[in-house]
Amino acid sequence: MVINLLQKINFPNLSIKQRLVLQLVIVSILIAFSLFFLIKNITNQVMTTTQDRLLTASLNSIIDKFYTSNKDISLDLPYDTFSLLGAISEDKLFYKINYNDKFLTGYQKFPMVLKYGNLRKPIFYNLIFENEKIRVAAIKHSIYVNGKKNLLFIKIGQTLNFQSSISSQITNNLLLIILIFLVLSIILVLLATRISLQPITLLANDLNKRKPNDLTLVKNNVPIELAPLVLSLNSFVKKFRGVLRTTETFVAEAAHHIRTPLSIVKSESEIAFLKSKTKSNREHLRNIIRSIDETNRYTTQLLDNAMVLYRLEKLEKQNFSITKSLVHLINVFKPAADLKDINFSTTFNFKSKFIVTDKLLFETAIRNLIDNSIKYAPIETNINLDYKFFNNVHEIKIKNQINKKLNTSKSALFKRFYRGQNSKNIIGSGLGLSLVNEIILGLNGQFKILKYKEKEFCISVQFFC
Amino acid sequence: MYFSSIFLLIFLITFKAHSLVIETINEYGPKKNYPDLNILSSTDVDVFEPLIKLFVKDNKQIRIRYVTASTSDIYKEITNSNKSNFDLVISSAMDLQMKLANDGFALDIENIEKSAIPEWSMWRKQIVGFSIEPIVTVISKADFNIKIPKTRRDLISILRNNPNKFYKKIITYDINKSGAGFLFASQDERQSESFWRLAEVMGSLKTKVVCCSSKMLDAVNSRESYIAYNIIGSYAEQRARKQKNLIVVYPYDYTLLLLRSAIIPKNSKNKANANIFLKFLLSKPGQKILEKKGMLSIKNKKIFKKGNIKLIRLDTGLLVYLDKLKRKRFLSEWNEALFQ
Repeated sequence: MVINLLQKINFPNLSIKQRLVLQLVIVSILIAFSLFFLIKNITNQVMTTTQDRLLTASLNSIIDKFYTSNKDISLDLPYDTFSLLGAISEDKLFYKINYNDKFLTGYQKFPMVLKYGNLRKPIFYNLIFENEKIRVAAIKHSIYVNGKKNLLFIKIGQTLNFQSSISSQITNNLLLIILIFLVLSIILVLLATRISLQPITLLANDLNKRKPNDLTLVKNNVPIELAPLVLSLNSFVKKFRGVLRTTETFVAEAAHHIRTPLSIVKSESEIAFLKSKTKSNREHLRNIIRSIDETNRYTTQLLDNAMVLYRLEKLEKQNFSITKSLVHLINVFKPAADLKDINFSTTFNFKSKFIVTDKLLFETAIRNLIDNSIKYAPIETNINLDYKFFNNVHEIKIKNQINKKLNTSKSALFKRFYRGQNSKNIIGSGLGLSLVNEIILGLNGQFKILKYKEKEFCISVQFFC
Repeated sequence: MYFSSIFLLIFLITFKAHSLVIETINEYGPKKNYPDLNILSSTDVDVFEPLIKLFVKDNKQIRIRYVTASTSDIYKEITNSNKSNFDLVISSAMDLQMKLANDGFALDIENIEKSAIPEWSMWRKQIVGFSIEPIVTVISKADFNIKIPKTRRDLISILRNNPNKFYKKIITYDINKSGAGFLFASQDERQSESFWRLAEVMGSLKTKVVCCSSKMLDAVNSRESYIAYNIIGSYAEQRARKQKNLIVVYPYDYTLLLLRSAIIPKNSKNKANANIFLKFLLSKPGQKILEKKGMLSIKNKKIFKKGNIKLIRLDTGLLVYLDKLKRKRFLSEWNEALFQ
């Protein structure tokens, strides 16, 4: 019945934990209440039995105090019995004794009863007398007077103070016990729910922590109930990884295959340019060469992109000096910067600071950023590189001037193949920033554009230790 | 303060003439047509008067009528009369008070559990004992050149050895008429195996029986009687302080301790006033005044050091001697012993 009830109760918008806690708490409350009523019922039965035994004992002692003379009968009502009956809980006492059909003594208006028991087994009744609920024991007893059998009908009644006072005392204690039981069971329910749901919580946390491009298999130890889910998840990941790898390989191979004929076309075009004598031919060939350069750049970026995605799956972490790496990259880009009379400045301590990460990916990301800075910085300006280490965070900032304010949103800049308005005359694929973003996220870092609306562009890259 | 004392005759007109034989009636407080608190009591008015006067001084709006009667009459008045207009019943007959409460003639006393009185002085919040009374023997000093009896056995022995001296010189309650006397005698029967021997000896010496303690004390003081058996201690002590011929003896074998108790009858029309009065009666000032008048406060502990004190327990055992057959058997045996 309880299970049906619990099934019927619909818990919309509740988590498994909340449902489980709610259901177990409801069950605990039901058990507590059932226990309460069960114990109270048993207590009442015990109280009634005790009172019945007391009344039976008193009937016995009353019978013992009957005396007979030649013609008559007399009773020496036992003081101590009456004293004892009333002493336990200040109960009122009523009795009636009939001798054959005649009233002998006691309360004449005592209520009638249908049946009388005997001394060994009196009949008990719950009656109301003088506006009081009473428990009555009734017996019929034979007594011989002058050799003749006579009958005594004895009824003794006691109010239920004795029962109710002990019962209320027990109820109070019981309520306290049930309350403690409830509190403890709720604590245990919370604890048990937490322990039971721990594998699910751990799985959920692990899945939550995953980067979008993390396609490693789920290796958590899960209970058998969750095993099919994890199995399905892993087979899905495997399939997805396979498809992705095929696509990447295809893109990389395609790029590679395009690059070789392209370089042949470029060199042939350059020879043709040199041999060409007419102005219009030269102009055509110049356009062809520029397009070949752009295409070449695209294919390089595509290759880079494929490499990065492949590498992110299998990071090769190593310990290297981040400052040395930055200096190395500045030196690599110095010739290209010199062509635009751009100066590099650094504002960091050259003392070696080490970082453990994938060096190739790290340098690819920074290289892309420096390349971008050189491309978009006006001639005869300065590019500043800053590095700081604080609170277990490595932060690299690259600052450069830009010609015009950017009217593009930050998020748009990270989109693949998106190019800003000020990049019309600049060779580029639109893959750079999005690639950098993916690398940095894959290396457990953070990538922010700090300023871009003014004529200054500043990028911050943070890697967490 | 207005205070009036009216005589018996007027009351026989005021009250229904069914059975209540009023001994005294007094009124206290502001003059009104009807009293705000009608007390029916077996305690002498001179004991209660200072207490009532102090009460009406603090409760100026309440007029009290204090009526005294015998304990048996009090019981009959409360049980027989549906129109009984008493608000508070005070009696030294614990058994009759118990019977009234057991049979549903008493109301619950408000906040009685908050009064700092011993648990044994209450029953079901309906009967409350406000004073304790040792039951003593009083002897005439002038007539006792022999050793003063300390126990009932001593008393039996003295009586047996001096029959001529004590012939018609013993006095006790007429338990056929006095509820309190009946209670003391029945409790004696419970406590002592020598009770019936004593009754026999007293009967052989033509013991006088009277209604009340005052008459017994008068008789001993006037040397009309030499021994008064089973007498209320407070009255005896109070008199003994003034009348030097009276010697109060607390029997060593056992001294019964009685509870003077109060109930609010179910027909009470001024329950609130009755509760206020009871609260005052049980308060420190109320108990102090009672002690001044020679009664023992319910909180008095010294009395328990006076010997083998046997408190008459306020429980349903008290109903037993009121049983028709038991009472008949007890009275017939007592009468047979006393009036040989």
